[in-house]
Amino acid sequence: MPLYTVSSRAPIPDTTKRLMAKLIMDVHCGITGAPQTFVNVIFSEAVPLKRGIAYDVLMGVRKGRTGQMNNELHNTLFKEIVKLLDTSPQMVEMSMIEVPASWIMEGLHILPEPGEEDKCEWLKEGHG
Amino acid sequence: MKNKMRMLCLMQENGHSDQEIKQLERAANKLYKKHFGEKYSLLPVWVVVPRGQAFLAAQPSTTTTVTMPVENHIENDVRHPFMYEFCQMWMDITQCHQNEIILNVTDRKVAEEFAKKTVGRINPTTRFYHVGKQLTKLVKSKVLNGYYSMNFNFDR
Repeated sequence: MPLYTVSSRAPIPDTTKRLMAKLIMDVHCGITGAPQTFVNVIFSEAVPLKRGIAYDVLMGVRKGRTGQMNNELHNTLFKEIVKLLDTSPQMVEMSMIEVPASWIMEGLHILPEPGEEDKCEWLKEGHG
Repeated sequence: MKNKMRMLCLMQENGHSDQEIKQLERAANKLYKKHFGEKYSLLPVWVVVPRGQAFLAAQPSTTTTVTMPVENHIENDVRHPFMYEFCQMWMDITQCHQNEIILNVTDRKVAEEFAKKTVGRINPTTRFYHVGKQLTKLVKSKVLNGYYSMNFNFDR
């Protein structure tokens, strides 16, 4: 977590997928301070999305951040993804689901609450 | 049906053999019953993510992400021992590294919200047809391979 699921009607070129995975990681970590090794991005193609929508991004993130931070994350990512895909904002849909960190296990550890990553010894020892 | 919990496994293409998958399903079901009660059973669904479509820290990922619901408001002192034992079991069977298994054990209502959003992205006018097509693929894979499986891309 976070788990970003990017659905598209048409295939996204491999280079763009790589750039998008990096973009999402950079924006997510830049705004939230989350470790890069937490950021999962998966692409689902040939999805019969709603009429007029070419891309759908579902953001699964840890619960516990402020509404302001979540809004900033959503809005910044939206803007950057539209730019990267060189598409119209009307063709991109983006939504967020928050999941408590204590419901997620990675590297045999329960994830820390957002903002408490510094207290995690196992993260310092190298996760990912 | 209420006690049948859907276990969604997002795995990389060729991530696990048929034999491993069946072994994982049996072990997962056993563990779930042990921790949450005999009345429950898991309905595992394997979603194959094609090569080049999954990234962790912006690098190609070899991780499997497993998501399953539990009853709402299960305490963490019940949830966490299950999660730990589940990941250990997964590593024992697949011989994967501990960073290659991600487990989400969510309250039922959050799992339902995820499912709703996933289906909700599909065009409502053709949703019935497309969801039906995906379900047919699942049944076909169960008959052919012995487990429910589908591709993350709708055209495969």
